Amino acid sequence: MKYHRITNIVSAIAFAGIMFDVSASVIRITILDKETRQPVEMVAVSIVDHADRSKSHGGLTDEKGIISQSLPKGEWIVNAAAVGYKPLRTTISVADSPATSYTLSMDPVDPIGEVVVTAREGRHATSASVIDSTAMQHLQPSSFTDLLELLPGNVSKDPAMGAPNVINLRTATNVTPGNDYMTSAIGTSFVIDGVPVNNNAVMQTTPDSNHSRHATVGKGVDMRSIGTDDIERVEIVRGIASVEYGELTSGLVNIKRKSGVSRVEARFKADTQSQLFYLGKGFAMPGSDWTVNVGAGYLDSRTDPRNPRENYKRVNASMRSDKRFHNQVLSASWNSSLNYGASFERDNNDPDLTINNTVDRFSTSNHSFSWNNTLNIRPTDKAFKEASLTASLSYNRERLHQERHVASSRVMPMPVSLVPGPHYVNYLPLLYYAVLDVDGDPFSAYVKGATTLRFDSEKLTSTLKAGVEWNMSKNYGRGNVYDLERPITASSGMRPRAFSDIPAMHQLSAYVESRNLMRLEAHTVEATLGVRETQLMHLDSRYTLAWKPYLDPRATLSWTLPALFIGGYPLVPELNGGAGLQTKMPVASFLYPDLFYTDFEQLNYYHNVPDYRVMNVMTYVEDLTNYDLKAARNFKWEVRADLNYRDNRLSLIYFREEMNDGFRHTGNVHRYNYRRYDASGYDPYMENRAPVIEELPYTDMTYQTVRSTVTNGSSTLKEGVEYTFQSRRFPVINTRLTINGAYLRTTNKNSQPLWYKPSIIVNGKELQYIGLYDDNDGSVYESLNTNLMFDTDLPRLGLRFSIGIQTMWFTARQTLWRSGIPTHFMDPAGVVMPYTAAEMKDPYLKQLVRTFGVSTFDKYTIPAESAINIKAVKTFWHNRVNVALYVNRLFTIEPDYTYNGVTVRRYSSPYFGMELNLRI
Amino acid sequence: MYLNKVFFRNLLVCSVLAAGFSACSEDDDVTPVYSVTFTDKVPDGCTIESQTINFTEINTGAVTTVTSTDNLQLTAGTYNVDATAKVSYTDNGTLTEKSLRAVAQNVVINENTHSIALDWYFFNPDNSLVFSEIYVSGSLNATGKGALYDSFFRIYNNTDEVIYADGLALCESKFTNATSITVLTEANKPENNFTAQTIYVIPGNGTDVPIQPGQSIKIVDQAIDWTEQVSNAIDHRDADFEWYDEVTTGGVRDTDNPDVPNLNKWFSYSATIWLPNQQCNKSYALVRMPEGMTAEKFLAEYNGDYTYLSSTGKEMNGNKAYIIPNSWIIDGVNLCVAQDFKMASLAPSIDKSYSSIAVENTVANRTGKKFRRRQAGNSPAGNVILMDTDDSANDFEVVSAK
Repeated sequence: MKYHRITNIVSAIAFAGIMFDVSASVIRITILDKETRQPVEMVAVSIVDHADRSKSHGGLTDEKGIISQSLPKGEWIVNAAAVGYKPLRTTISVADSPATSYTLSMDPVDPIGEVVVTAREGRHATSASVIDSTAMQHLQPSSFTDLLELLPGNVSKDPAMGAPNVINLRTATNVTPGNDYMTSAIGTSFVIDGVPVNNNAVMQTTPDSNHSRHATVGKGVDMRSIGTDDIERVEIVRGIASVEYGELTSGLVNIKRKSGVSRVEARFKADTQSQLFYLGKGFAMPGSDWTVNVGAGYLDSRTDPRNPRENYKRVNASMRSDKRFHNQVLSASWNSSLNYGASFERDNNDPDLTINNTVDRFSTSNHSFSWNNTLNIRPTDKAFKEASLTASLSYNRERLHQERHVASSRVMPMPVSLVPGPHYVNYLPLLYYAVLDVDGDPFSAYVKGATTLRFDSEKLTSTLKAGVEWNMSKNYGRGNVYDLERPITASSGMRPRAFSDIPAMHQLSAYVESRNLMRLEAHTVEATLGVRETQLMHLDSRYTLAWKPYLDPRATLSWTLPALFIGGYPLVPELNGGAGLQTKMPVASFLYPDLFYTDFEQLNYYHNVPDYRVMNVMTYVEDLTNYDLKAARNFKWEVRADLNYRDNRLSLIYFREEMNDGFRHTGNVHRYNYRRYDASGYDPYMENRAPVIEELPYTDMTYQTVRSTVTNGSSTLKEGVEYTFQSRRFPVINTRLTINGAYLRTTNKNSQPLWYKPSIIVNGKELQYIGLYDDNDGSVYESLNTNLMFDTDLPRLGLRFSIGIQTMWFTARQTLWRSGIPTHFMDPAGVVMPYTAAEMKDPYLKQLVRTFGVSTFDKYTIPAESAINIKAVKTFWHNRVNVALYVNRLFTIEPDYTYNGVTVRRYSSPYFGMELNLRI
Repeated sequence: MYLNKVFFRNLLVCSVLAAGFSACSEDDDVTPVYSVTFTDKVPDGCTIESQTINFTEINTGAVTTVTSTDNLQLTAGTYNVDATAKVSYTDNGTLTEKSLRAVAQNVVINENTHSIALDWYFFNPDNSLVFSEIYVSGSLNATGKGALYDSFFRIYNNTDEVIYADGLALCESKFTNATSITVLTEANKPENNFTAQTIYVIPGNGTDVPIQPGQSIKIVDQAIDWTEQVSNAIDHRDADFEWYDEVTTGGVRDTDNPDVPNLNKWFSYSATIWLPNQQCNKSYALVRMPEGMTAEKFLAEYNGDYTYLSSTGKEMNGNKAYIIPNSWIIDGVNLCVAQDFKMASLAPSIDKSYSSIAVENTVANRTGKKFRRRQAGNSPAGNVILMDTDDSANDFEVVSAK
């Protein structure tokens, strides 16, 4: 289905706000594309009384190409206008019959001009990239991750299926966000057919650092798990999202899946790392206005094609029903979908690389089931345009299974004590076999009620949207399940924990948004003002967040200036701008961290005679919950200028986003007291037994260390300029030029002072002084790129190909200045004192000064590199068979560069794939 | 001070057999005396300036000491020979003095053989205690994926006198010999000082830790029986010392065997344990701290923070290091995997070269192998003399650790 830009055409339609008392009849107009017979969405339709031209009605067609209107009996003139189509004008007669349907067909102006193989800049006031199925077919993606190449500032990347793929909108390309800067990814909401993906209750992780990269907890949506084949259209809102959407800081990914009757579509894709299969069809069901779409896909991918032990598999299947009803007073639609998704990840070790052929296993599996329903009612009433109710249930069955041979290089106490205090514990064997299962069963429910009201006057069209949203999530999983005496790592602060002990999270939000379209002579101004209110309920009252309301005001303005006529064609300038706050609540793992267990060795008497050995530990059990945790809030504003001329379009955006309370693991000083028992005077041979602590002298020990809790301590500042130019398709050569790119500047730093304990031993003891540093632990990243794409569409040859030249002009990174001198320090007694010049001379305290080389803070710039990517799609047999291929980095220009006298050489190798599409 | 070539190339051709015999006495009661000829194998470019040669007749124990080999006459017998010499040579235009030593065992002087071959090698007369074994790679653990912490150092008394090891420091270099950096701070350049990241000192009041001639002490990381995990590993329950890093919590721990005394820990870069570089790419030094040096004084005065250019050319700061004057070092060894060698952390005067565990750095190549000092011969007292030419490529061999 085609999506059309209409904003500047709406102004051409006049409306009159007069109601008629005479008996009315409901007419339904369906607008189809004359060539494809597909419905056309967003067609501006005005219906004017033939007799009295001041009486008019109108609106936009929905995604089914339908507009419904209650009209009195008489002759009416229908005007329909949409970009890419010749304006349509016709007359209809409304008779006494209660309901009449009309089908109108619109002539495409330039059919080949409509093929868009790149992302288009959306036509609303906020900046958004729209990617439709044609662009996806041309791009040949394996997962949603691949689509991001089309956003300004991004270049093509090879799939990285070995770890969750997280989204980073408007972030300089050379940023690899660590866990401390994940809020941008967590705060990008993925909405699929009106239902947000909720992974707030995901807890899957492992204490084994060799595999922690596979963990999905606290990372947002894993884009690997989203297949693209069922997607009709994606709108990625980089700017200010409508207040209709919440639980986001950075952006919104609004996915609309295919619906409607279609042939059997089959896709077979192979690239260097993966194979993908997809089969889908849209069925017409008995009765009228009922379609059911089914689709199923399978992806098998290997991080390294030579390595069969590490892979990622994905299965997607869905059944989507779309039923419509029409009668005199309303038209309604009921969309229901059943969805299944699964992903399987495996990362076993290579027994050939271990001397003893030991096999350690790691696997994750995730089965997700969801049932979504949307009921949409559109009364044929003038003011009350639409009411909808969306409800969704989803359940994920997430399993992590790990088997590991743990061969210790040290004698460790068994981490078995579950309560605080001193305990005698056994020694872990130097070699054992450990099995860990992490069972997560997150469940979420979602209900949203929304209404749209519309008020028209002569100069003003007002739309009022309001809604209420509730979502809950709870993990019913058993959590970490393992034998206490055989932990997966010989030492971790972990003990078994059932995720089901974590209370459910309930979030309630409401929003109201007013969109006003004003026509002032030749100017059109669209102003949108909205506010969204949200809070977490069902939280313990100790949490600052409990019932704390957050208000997100968001406003956008779009001003279409009068067209200038140049060479007989209109040049339409447009100015857009917006500002708003976007808020993301913390996820369950941030609000309810695991209890942290620490065992201090009070006595480790590892005698040569095993019978005399004894280990006594002091166990601390700490709740690292940060009850002061708040939501992360991103304030962004942007301005955009657009120029449209003869289907050429230039967009230029400046944006700035500032988030000072991103989620971060921040250290706090914790003090522990325990005893060190001195067994040096004990003679086990005389006693013929191991010592007991009661008979030994001891010294009281204090240990201070920095323990991490989740805070709002990360700051991310994003600013930049995004630009997109899309030419019209030049006749004769049928080629369109698209230029896009961005200058992006991202600053990641901590926003609160940091405690830091240097890991240093002086005189045989770990330094027990801890410094408090004001310095920003952060960096500034920059990138500037230009992507040129020449795409040629030759319908007579059934050939579409593109040449993309992607140039990264530079990327740069600079560490923020740090003095390295603490402002305060904490001594071993726990007293905090200011750090002065006198402390700098103390042999112990001077260790707190962190020293940095003079060039540590120099800017490291990597100069330009270019890559040429080609993509081609050839269709056979009336578009029934498509063969496509792509090669990324077929040619590259990556000149050597010199940094500080060292020559750096750059290499890359091409990445390629092929696919076959069938429409039978 | 590099010598131009590898040593001992200059093979002096044996002198012709002694032309004339001394008069053979028929009288058995009189021990015959023979003129002895010498074949000296001297390092390239060196000229012997003075020498002292001790001949110990092993049956009688009679010792003959000479300072010149001219017209030397010895009574018939079997001798152990221990010779030291001073040489000078020109190194890059600078006249340099060095000591040489040569030993020979069971040299028979009789009517048929009366020539002695002396194989001279560079020798540091202060190297009374030397590393005889260095095991840092560790034994392969039971999963075959990493190494155990059964590393150890063996310190050997290379003299014929009792030497006390109290106060001796075992140090690991800060710099990795497989990493190419340019040290900018003058004091940290190897030719000036040794930059150490760990300093562990043998406890005692000066006479508490005697090492008998020809004997050694074993200093281990953790004095436990590693064969409990892998039979090929080493049982360290018999160690003389262990370095113990008191870590009472966290994933990294150390174990204090109550039966094995601990080294005094003066400094370690690590907040947890000191694990010697398992890649075998660092340098190790035995340091005799000057009289009266204490940990406090040392830490206050010998801070070794430095700046350097990294391999990417970026100027960086290095810290958690202390500097040790080269003159305090009594023995030092550079280690590096041959393929990866970039720089030496020790001055050439301490170790001219480096000893490598393998050509290529893989876990399989290095685990379970130790560096062992070669034997040069036996001292007059019959103790094994270990090769100490300040040239670890020559002095050490790589053998199985077990």
